[in-house]
Amino acid sequence: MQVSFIARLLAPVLLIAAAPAALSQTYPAKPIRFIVGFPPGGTNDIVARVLAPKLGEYLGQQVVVENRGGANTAIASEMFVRLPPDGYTIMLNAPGHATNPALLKLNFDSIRDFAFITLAAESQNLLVVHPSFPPRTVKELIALSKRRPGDINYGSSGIGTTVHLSAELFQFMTGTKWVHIAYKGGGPGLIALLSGEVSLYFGNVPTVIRQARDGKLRAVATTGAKRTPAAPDIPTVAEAGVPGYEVSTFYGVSAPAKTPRPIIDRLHAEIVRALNAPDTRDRLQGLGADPVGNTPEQYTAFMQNEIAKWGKVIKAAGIRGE
Amino acid sequence: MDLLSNLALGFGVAFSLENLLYCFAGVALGTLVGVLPGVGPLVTIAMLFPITFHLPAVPAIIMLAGIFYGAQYGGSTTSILVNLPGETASAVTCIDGYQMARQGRAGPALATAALASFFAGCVGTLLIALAGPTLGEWALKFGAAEYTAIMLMALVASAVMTQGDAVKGFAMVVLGLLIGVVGVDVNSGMARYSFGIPELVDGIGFTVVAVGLFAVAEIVLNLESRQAREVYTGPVTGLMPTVRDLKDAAWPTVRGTAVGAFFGVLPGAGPALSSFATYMLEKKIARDPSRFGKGAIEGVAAPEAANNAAAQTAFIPMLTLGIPATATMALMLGALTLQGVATGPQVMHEKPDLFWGLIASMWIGNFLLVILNLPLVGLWVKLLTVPYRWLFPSIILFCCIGNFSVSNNPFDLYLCALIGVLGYVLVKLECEPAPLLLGYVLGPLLEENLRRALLIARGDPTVFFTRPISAAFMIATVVILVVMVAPAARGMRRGT
Repeated sequence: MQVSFIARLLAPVLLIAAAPAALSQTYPAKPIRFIVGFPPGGTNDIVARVLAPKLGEYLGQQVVVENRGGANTAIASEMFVRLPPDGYTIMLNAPGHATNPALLKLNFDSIRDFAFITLAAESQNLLVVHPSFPPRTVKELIALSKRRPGDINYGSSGIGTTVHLSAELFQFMTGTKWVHIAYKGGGPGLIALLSGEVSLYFGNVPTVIRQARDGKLRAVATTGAKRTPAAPDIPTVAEAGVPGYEVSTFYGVSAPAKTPRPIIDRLHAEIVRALNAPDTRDRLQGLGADPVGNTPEQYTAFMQNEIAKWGKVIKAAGIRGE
Repeated sequence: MDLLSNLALGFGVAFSLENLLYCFAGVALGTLVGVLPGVGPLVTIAMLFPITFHLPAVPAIIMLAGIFYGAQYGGSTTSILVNLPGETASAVTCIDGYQMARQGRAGPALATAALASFFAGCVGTLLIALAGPTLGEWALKFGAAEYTAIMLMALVASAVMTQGDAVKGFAMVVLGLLIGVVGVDVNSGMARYSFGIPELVDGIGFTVVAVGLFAVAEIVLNLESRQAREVYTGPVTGLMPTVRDLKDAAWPTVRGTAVGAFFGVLPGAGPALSSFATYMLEKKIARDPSRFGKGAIEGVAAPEAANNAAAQTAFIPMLTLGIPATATMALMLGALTLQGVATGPQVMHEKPDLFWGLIASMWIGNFLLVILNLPLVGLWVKLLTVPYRWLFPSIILFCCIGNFSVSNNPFDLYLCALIGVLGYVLVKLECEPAPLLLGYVLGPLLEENLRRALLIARGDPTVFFTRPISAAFMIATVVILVVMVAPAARGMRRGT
């Protein structure tokens, strides 16, 4: 905190000192702010704090993580898009970036106001059920849900989270109807599942895999396009009976729009290098996140696709944020 | 005996030089961030997170845990000295702690807080060691209906919080309730009372409310009087508590510990509620309740014991179920995960050095905290001799730093100033801020759980009476209500 505080105090001074023409040659000439749209403590924050030191090492400047939580990254984004596009601020994008356009009235454009650098890592959710809940497979779950519409409770870590939306996408694609019980955060949501207050839950893989292995919960399927390396024995929802189903919890890095291309390229190169460093790779995988590191163009297309997909699901499910 | 050999193993681990050093670093840092409002253990642990990559798992978790419970010690310091709650859980300590300081009894108040915290910390740790897994399973018996019943009981009991006019007290609770429900509703996802301001979508933070109501309002009030500002009227009478003080504080400490340990295990309740609950209990059973709010030592000992006991037992869901109940616990779990340690029911058997080492380190840590905090009492009390014209800008500065650091957003500072004005107006109207804060804590919890319970029961209200634990709390609520209303009713009959 102290470092970021000093960095912030010095920022205006350094800004005047850095002439725009010299930007790409001398970049980076001062610490870089890495904005996280959540308060400290969540997986997003941890991912940023895993990446930051490595990236700083490669860039030869400190990368300082700065939390600005609120409205599932929307508050951070609103501030972020107004910052000078000089490469000294980057931001971690989360799934909220793709779902917020459909949920909230935003004062920025989720595509045009950003220069997407790379999709750093992706993780997936694992559909787990309470051991007393009968279905063992996706097909059995669909059959039971069809027999008892509006009867099954599923938990989530809050409205608009991927835990919630994984379930909404499932119902949307299978024509089933469950009752959503929202909790304040993943911890309380999981406790409700363990106690049997809710029957099923789409938890981020590392948060539930252990309980599933210990028999406190039963794993049914994962939400990714491919099976997760953390549990290759568990099928994906898509292969188990809902073709085309995919939910990715992603961690991407972007800069404000109009950040010069040479700077974007430099950041891209160093972030990908950081992602490929064995210790970073191990840590991300420990968090259930598989490093990706695609190109700015691929990441932009990915984001456009995600925004369109969730827009449809959120509209169909009738979820509203305001 | 198994426990003894396990503890021997734990102390063997915790007493290694490296682990002792990290334990000390953790609790010292925890004390420091506890003193600063807003800068809590969560932010600190997040900052130190990358450092833990370069540490083995055991010292890493020992240090992070030290920060967490160390902050509970530090949090009371500014509450007592300048009416500034350093941590969420120490807001209640302001009520009587600050009054003690004004009467020249800051020393005994601080020492009592440290000793009560120490006792509670030891008992809390013992509970984890003796009954961790059992308590973890037991916590799972508390669903939405049970939480609703507990919150309702606390809300009914909140009438005890008020000193004077009951109607005003009730109004304050309701006002707090309204402030508490600002932001996105958990159950429906609708933003309420946010007026299109994005910063309000996630609600108004506890630090903002508590600091505004207590610290800022108090400063405004002190600046109002034109004469020499003698905030601290009483002469400083000794730094340490007297034998009588200790006697007065003993049972409240024990009860506070019990209440705190209970709420700590429940992931949905939290330390803030535990300190309120124990304060209400003490006031209700006190021989002379009117002393509360005027510097009763029980009002310091009980909540401080409660928040520290809760801080220790809050580890139970994480260690035994592998599920973090709070964001701070999630971060610690994250640190362990990155170390390749998967916590869960098996951790006691798979990583006994980690589990028992952590528990032993908590004992050592609590001991270090008392050693660290008792000598500091003299230093803190000297701080009160600083002329008020120097003291108050510093308090305001710390309020600003603390509030800003929560989300790096200047909006929170404006909001805190605004709530400070509200606090000032309330004092002028002879309304007390404590019931407001309680309403703020309770309201959203009650609403969230009530609606969740009814949603799960598909709208059937009998659910609160058919589940045994919930029914027990409901009956207790009725009993409390009768006990409170009966004397008033009798008084009325006599009056006519």
